[in-house]
Amino acid sequence: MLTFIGRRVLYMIPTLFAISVVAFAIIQAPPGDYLSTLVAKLQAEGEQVSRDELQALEARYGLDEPFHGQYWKWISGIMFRADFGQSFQWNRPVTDLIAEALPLTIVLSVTTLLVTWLIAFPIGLYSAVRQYSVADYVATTVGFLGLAIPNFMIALGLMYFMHSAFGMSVTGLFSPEYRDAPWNLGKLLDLAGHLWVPVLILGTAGTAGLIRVLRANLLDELKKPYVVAARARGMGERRLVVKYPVRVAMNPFISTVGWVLPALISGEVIVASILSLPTTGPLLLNALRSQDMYLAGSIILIVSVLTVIGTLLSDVLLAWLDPRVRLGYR
Amino acid sequence: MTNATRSERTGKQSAPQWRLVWWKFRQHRLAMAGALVTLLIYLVALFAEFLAPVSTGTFDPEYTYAPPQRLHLVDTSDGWDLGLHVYGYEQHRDPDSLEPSYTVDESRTIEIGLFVKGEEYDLFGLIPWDRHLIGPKTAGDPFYLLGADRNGRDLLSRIIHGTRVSMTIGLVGVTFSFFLGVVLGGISGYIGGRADLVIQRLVEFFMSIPSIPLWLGLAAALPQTWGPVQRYFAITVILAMIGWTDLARVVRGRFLSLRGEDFVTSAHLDGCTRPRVIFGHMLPSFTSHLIASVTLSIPAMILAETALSFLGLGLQAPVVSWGVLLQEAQNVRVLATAPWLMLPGLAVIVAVLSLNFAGDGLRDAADPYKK
Amino acid sequence: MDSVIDRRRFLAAGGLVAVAAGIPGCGFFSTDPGTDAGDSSLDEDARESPQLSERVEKGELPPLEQRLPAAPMVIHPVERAGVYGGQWRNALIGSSTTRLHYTLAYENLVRWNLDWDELVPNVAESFEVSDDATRYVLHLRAGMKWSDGEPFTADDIVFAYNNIVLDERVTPNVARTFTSGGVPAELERLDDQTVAFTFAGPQALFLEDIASQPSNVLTRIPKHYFERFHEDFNADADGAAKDAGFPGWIDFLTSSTNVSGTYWQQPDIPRLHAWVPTSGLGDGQRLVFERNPYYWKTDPDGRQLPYVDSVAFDIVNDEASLLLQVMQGDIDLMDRHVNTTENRPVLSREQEEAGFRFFGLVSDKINTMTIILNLTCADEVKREIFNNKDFRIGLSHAINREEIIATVHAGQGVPRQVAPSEGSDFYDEQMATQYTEYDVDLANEHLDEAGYTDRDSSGIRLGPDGNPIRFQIDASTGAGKPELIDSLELVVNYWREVGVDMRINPVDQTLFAERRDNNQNDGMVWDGDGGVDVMMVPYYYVPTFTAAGWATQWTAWYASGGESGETPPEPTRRQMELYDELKTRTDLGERVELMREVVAIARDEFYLIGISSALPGYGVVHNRFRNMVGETFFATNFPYPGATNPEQYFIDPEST
Repeated sequence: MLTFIGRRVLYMIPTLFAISVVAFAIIQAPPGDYLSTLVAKLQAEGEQVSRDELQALEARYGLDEPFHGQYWKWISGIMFRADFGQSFQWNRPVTDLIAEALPLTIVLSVTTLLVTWLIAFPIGLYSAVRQYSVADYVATTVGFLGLAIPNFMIALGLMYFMHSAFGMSVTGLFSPEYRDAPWNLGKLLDLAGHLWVPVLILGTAGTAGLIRVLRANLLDELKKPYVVAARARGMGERRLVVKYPVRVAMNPFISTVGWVLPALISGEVIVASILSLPTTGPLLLNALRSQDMYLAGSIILIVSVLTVIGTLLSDVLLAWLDPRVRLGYR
Repeated sequence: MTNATRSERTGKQSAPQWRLVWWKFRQHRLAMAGALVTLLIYLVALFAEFLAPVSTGTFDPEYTYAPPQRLHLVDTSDGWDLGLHVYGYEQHRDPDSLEPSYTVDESRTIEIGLFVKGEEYDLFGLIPWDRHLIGPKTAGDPFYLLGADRNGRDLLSRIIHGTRVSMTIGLVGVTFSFFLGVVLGGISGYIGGRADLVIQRLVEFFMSIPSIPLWLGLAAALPQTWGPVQRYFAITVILAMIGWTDLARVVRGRFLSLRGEDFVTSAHLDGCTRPRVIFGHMLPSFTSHLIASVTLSIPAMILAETALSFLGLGLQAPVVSWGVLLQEAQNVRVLATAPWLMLPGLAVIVAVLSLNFAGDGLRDAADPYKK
Repeated sequence: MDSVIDRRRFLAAGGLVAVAAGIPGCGFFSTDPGTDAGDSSLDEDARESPQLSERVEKGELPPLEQRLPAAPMVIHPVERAGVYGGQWRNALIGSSTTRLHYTLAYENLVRWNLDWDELVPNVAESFEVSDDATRYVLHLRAGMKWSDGEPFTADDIVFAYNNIVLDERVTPNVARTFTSGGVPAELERLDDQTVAFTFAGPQALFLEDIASQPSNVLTRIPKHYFERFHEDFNADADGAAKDAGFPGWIDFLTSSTNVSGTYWQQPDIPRLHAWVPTSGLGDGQRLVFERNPYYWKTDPDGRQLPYVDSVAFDIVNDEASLLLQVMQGDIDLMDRHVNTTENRPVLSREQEEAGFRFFGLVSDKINTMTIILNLTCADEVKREIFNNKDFRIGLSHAINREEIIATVHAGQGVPRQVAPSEGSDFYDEQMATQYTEYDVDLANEHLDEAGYTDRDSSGIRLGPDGNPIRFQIDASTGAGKPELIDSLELVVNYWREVGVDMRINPVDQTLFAERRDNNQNDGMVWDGDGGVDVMMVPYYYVPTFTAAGWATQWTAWYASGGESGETPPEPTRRQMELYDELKTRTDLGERVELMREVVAIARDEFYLIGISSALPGYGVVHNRFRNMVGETFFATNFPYPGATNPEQYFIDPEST
């Protein structure tokens, strides 16, 4: 078992290296750099820029260095000093920016995940047990509808609807008066009052996917001989389903939990941008758009590393449960 | 799985596998409906020029942001007169807000016909024709069943033309990812060893990078000298690059589990060559699964295209796709004053929904021997 | 204000559902946001804000007389004298801080008046210019102070100029404003309140240049704060910079004296502005500025400005959410991002309920769309075609401008070429309307005359090399100007009719600029500036600036003094000479005459094709927010709303 884990950790190194290079290269792929993007943006907005001042900044940002030089500067800072560099657009350490956005992102993601599960689980269970019933059709249709409507449409629609029907703004995670306030009950209530909007929007897609997987897995399980045997022995139908098949049907979730993170982050980007949430998604999107390379690269790297670690954990978990998997990696 | 293969050997004489799948599939009513709608949508894509009243670029300054017209069957203005028609609009523009408003002008009847002569086009790019399924009898008369956009272009026609790009982007993209997924997943699962290791790292790598930055980076790296067609092609490849990993994992898993099956071993012992074992014995046993996976990944690609367009990275006007249409509609002005411009979203929903139903049913039916 | 209550109740209800799990911790049960919005004061006799009187009483601040300069600058309110108090609700999109300079930092030595036709003293109390435009003497205000109470003197200007602007370690290039013929001006300190700039040659536009910048460098660098970070003043400047979190003193100075750098992140930098930051950008989702107790302007009654207590910028990510905030009445003044023609109908609808009004913006745009054919195109054949004036005239006649106006611009505007706007001193009817008539026959005639009579099988004219005339026009997709692509789509068809195959090349704004600057495009479309501000923004009349982008090689020739680029043709060279001459004349009348000649040559050369007159802009201002002018300018060289004196805005307590 230890050798298995050791080998897997070893494999992570080249993957992580490749990810770090690609994360950095992705940001360099578009033409221009942070400053030329800034100049272009300002010109588009009809604002003047002092080229002399910008040139002064160019040297400071080290944008005139070649790719490998910039990469080394970045990656060595991370490895030796846990320094992710400086964000150009915010003029602050990347670490600070991520540290501010990450807790709220996690709150949002975890809440979304919980809500998704709470909704999807009973529906998936029901539509598996009553396959092809009217309720099954309705549940799957509603679930799929959530999957089919592009998230940004829901976000825009909801935002406008809340404005026109209730005269309220659903953007942000806090009302203006609480944005800079210290944490207290009021702020918490305020957060909760805003959080449900993105949770609802993000949850729609996730719920549908979950219902489908759960239903399919459970259907497979329910046809297994042990279920038939248990039923023949007169076990109650409810206990029969919940006791074993559901547990087994959950297995695939454990093995894919590692992928949940990047999916949530990616899914969150567009919605959070529309709703102006102070989470990592918009931070990443803005950074990518303005070619703020250290910020963008660091966010991608962190998310990717978390994913790789998540995958490792779920693989280890599976290997521990199922020796065949261990052999498969040999 | 052992169950399935055992019955495969015994059931083969009675009915071919595809027929069994079909029987099973037919049971799933939603899936049948989904498949039918999907088929219709692809027909729309094929005959877009014929079905759309006008081309994508036809505009009319007198009808900017014109709301949808009601199609009437009976004309009561002058006794009872049977015949499709719509009424004309009169445009007023608020001098302060610049908002155009329209009143129905009942005195102006625009007769609508089926198979009318209209703008010329080349069907399938080959056959020159000028008939349109539906349209005003006098070409050029205003006809906006789903309303008009900011330049007075007919939304119905634009959605119909957009169908082609949006629905094929999924197909072409899936073809690529299918190819990549089957080949790489197959190598990984069948050969195993070092190849498996490398490919698995590759899969892990692609799955670890959040897709939005990957899109952004790849889309931005496209040479800007490329025309719309090349960009379209490139974007499908980008979507495929991200989409193949799932399929590769599925294929690998299948190969892994089949490798040890009796029928594979016996095929080897019979002296079959490797390609023959793979293509003759192993692949067919899970083709239906592959088809189901593929069907399910088309809607994901359609949604990805709209998301890319939303970010301003996908196709660009003047190319018309549902994503492009939605991108033009994604602002507060449209929500407030011209909500019909969100209709391309409905097209996306219908397409994604029906493909999902069809794919889901196909997956349920893929293993016809399962009880 | 029923909607507010509704909204609160709604949020609370949503909150209860979502929290459900219970309330953690104690000492936590307060629901007070803890932020003080500030109450309005109705005491109209007070000469300073009650907030400040309080601090004076406590002994934290010296009395008003000691804080104001001997001769404060007097600002005449637009409507009436205001009351102290309130918060100006504003917003920024993303991290871009440029709007801060335009809104809060327009405190240069001199400024533009409200009508944008006269320079008025600002930080400088008065100024004198020598007849040959080489020497400028500026008198500062005695007793003026930075926001930390330290005196502002000639030494600050000297430090900013000699140790920041001219120090190559900090600023590698000297800004054009401070040079004449490439040689930087010399600065003399005449006494505590007087400085003089002396140029090697004439630089007649020096003060105009300074007045046109949203935040000029000379008046934002307090010597007493920055000198300890400068090696020439402090041997351990590096140490001081490291303590402040920077790798070295040069980094510290380049970054924190630079408005695109960390200037707004460092709240402890003393300023001359009406409001000073309380926290750095990025510390939260909101940036709050509070009044500067040492602000040096008063109203005619001698009451210290600003009237408004504080300014709060919400940081939003997206234009849609900003628009909704405006529609909700949550923003007091919005002059960027959301004030598009496209959004006008929705804003009009909400106007009444949300309680805001519109103000006019006179646009400096030169046209709704300037079609630029790259006259120095890298492709020799295309260059020959584009430089053929008959070809350009033919293309111009082929465009149905009325149709574009009706379709794309909601019927606003009239057909126009790229020319000075009607209200401008330089308006020339012939120039504005020549070749705007839509006439396909006439267009064909001109194109035939241009020598491209042969056509290929699909009707496209053949160029001098025997190939069909086919080129791409770049259109930027990231610039928030979708109307350019809409218009261009129509132009494609018009030109197709007369046998010219133009294709649209939609590109991202950054690449658009890169292709333009490196002479890689065939042509491009842009709206363009200089319709009103003809003299200061001449580059759509004469190619003196790359960003105009219609003959970048000629621009390079001009900028390098003939060393690089390509020699422009004789009429263009003449324009450049005239413009150089203009920069040496101190007399405004003479400058106008010279500029007229430059414009006349542009008319005869017909370099660029225009579509229609620029649309008037608008901004949104909340009804409780008073003293905003009814109309101002939307132009790069008129830093608004800063130029409309934000310090005299006030919040009407009766309408809130």
